[in-house]
Amino acid sequence: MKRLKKSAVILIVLCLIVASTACSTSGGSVSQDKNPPASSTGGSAEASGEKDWTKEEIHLSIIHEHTAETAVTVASSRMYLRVQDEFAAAHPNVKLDVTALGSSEVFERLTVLAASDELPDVVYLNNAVFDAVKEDNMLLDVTEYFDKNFYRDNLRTFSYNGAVYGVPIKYTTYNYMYYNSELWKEAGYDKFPSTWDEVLKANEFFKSKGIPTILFANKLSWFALASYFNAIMHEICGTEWVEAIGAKDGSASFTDDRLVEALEKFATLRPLWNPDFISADDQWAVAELAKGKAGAHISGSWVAGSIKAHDKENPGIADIIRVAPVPTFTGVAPTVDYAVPQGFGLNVKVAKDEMKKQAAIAFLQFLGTDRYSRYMAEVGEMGPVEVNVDMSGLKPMQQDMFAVMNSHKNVPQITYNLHASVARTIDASLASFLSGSITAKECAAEIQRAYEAQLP
Amino acid sequence: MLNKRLQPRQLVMTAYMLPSFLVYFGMLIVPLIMAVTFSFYKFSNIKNLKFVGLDNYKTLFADKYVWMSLKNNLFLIVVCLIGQIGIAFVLACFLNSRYIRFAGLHRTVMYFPVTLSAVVVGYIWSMVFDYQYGMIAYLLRALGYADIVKPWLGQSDTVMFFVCIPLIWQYIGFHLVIILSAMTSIDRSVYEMAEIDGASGFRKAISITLPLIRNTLSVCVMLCISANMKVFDHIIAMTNGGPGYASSVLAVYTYKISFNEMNLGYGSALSVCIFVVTAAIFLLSRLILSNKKGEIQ
Amino acid sequence: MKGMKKSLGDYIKIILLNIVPILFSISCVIPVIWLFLSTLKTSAQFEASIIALPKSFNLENYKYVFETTPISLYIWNTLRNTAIILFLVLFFGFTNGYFFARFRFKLRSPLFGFYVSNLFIPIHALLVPTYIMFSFIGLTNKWYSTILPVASIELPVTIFLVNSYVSTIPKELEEAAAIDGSSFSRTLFSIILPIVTPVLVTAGIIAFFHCWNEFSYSLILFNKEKLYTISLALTRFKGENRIDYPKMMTAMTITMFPALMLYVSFSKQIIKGMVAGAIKG
Repeated sequence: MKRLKKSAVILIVLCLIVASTACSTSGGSVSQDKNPPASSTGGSAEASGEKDWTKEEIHLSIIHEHTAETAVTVASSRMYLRVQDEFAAAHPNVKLDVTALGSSEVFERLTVLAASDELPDVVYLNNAVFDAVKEDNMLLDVTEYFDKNFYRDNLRTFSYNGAVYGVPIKYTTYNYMYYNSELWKEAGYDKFPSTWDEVLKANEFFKSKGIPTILFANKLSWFALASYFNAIMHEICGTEWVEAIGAKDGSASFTDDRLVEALEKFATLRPLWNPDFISADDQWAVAELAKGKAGAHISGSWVAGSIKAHDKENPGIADIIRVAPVPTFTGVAPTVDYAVPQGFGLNVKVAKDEMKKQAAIAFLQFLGTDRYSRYMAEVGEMGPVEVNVDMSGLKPMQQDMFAVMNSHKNVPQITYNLHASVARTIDASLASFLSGSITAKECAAEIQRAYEAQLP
Repeated sequence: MLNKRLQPRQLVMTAYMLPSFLVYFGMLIVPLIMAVTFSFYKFSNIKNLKFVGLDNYKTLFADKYVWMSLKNNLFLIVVCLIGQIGIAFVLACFLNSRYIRFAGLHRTVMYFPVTLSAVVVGYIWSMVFDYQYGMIAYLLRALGYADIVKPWLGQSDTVMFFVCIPLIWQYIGFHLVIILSAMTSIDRSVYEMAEIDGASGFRKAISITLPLIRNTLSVCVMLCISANMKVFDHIIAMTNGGPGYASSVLAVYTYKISFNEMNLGYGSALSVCIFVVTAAIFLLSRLILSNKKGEIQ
Repeated sequence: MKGMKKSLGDYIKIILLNIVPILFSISCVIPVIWLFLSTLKTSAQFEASIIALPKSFNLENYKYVFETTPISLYIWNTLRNTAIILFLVLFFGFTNGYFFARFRFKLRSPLFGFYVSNLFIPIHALLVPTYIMFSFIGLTNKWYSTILPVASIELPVTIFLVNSYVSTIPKELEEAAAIDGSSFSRTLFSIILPIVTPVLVTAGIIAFFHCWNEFSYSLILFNKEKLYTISLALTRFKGENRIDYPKMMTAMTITMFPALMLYVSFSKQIIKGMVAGAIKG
């Protein structure tokens, strides 16, 4: 009894000590307005006029996924943080209260915050989050502050009912053929083949070397759509068909014959891939390509940076790897698919305080300038705004990538205006189909069912 | 049960048991009731709750991914009951034997896997099963059985078998520790008497140890069923439910619906489904395991 | 019995009896060792070969983690919260478990079923409702926010373990104490508690590691970085398309290390307790 009492007392004392030190420093919930009351002289100055908000101390809360660690390896994070820091330096009166989390955790937290109507001031958006909050008057309408034509996606990604609610912070293109030019030269191709038939013929050569012709890394199951199937759909089913699906007017259906044909053609590419494509991940695939252990890999605009990072262990590889457009079945030019995976919007509650609203809008506008895109261009990647790229400092593969992007039709991924549940079903059904557990018809039927369940 | 007269006054009993009851009620039951309520609505945020009655449940019954996930949960339960508890019991008997050396060290070390986070365990084992560089693939190829090597975690027909291995491996130590601590309450003299009668090790385990730790074993069974109905982190770390939904389990599916699609109404309905199914399995296991003693609680 | 001659068959049995646990124990240790060795590699070395031994005893990942992340703050937060939760869970687990094992009272079955229901509830179901409720009360974003929810989740297991264990203790103990004139509370804490120590240590270890690795509630309830626990620190290293594995594993090793040290030092206590329990009979 004595021993228990003693330990209990010690613990209680410890708790009290901790509580007294911690209590004073613990903060309130995220959305609490920490602004001082608007100054009487400032009043309600126009956004383009006096700019009194630059004199007030204003707090803006943000949650995003760009941690200092990811910034080391991921260019988009690094450049975003650079822009964010520049804003903070230009406006020292605005205190940015930043929380950075890992990429799946950030959306887990945003879900909970959105559900309880406690979003931060600056809201990190992806398609699912945007769909969840757009109808419920939780985001500030910022149409009047942005020029649609300035952006590659015309701000369509985060628009609803004609109003703009968010600005893109990333623009990613997903289907480039990164190939080992030396190996393909050995196989007899100075330029990467433009049809899948030719690639399949080259398969023999790579098999004899014991390496996969093309790596496929579908661990994050959206790769199947992004790297391959979106372009195949545009080729086999036609861009009008894809757009009809997006229009949701019932004129196009996933169970149409041409979609089934597209699926079956997709499956014919299986011999080219590594057998563990379902569980392989992109990071590993890029490493394999860099080590010379594969012929090629279809992936997105972030890969070039990774390959450059591998140059230390595999000298010269950054010059040997080149980029070509993906092949097609019929030999037509393929489409390059893009997406705006994330962006930023503003919590409608910032409008309660005019100074805060102006500061928040200024922040959003700052993010929406061409700064980010310019910084990305410096390292050979792309941003939401079209900028001039100085090709001279870039590796051949990066110059190739820009050439491919600029000379081919850029189309959004089919999922960009479909509900998240349909996107999930497409990814899962494609994976099941490619692993052989369902037929093409069944795959199409599954996707169609999910699609119909979401039709207005 | 103790004699009634040794029971303390009502007030004393309430004083001991009320605080935990209140906290437990507030932290678990109240949110659960909220979740059940939410399951009758369609919503992503509380500003816009749309009452849809039983729609979410109708969707649930018709959703084939729910049934696939449930099947996987049941598979894991059966395999882990045998694998985790069975192996743990055998190891516990070994470690409790007179002839074992370093029993304490074994007991400490065997619990190590339990202390690892599921992400680590998932990652380590997906490395072991890796098609290109995994240890098993390496061994098989070295021994000349290269054609057996397949991408096990990427094939719908083999994925569940391989997913349950890390689950078994990690939690053997958990049940081992519980069973061992129960075995310490068994008097050594009982074993000695049995040995004089000529009982073998196996006989002693089945006829003496097993009945005496029955209550503890039923706790282990309960915990195993519950954990495997709720299993989440391992699946996400190893296969993310794939390929497609081949290795999906209810908790994974619920998470994807709730947090990736923000369909919180349907997600709540799925949670209720997990609750009901787990309770049903649990009651069923009680009925099967109940015995004449009647003191099981 | 001690003087009985052992045949060859007996010796073989003894060897097998020892080999099986040894093999399993080795399999339990290897991943921990591999994890530690991986932390001595750079990201590029790691991707070059996962299984190879590190090229050198390179502690730069540790330096990085300690310098750029407030990991000692996170460890302190985790330690403090875990200690408090552990105390609550063990105290109430012990008392409730004892009551369930020894006494018949009106609400016994429903109350027990009440605690059992915890096993049926998946945690993700509770996250959104808990956050909504806490934000209404104003309990979000405090250093103690996760204590009550996590304690509630760990409590039932302790109750069950104590319950099963106490039901195997002979009633004569309490009856003898009553005859000696001991009050209820005194009997409970000075006589029963020492006997129940092995199961409390077991339950304590289980609860300790669950709290130490607890993630979901911490993610939801802690918005400010200075309140973070260790499990949240690991998320910093996960990017959308790339994970810096060696750094993440370094963070994992650092977070595991204090827990493992505590566990290993407590093991000695456990063994003592187990032996003592066996002798008492």
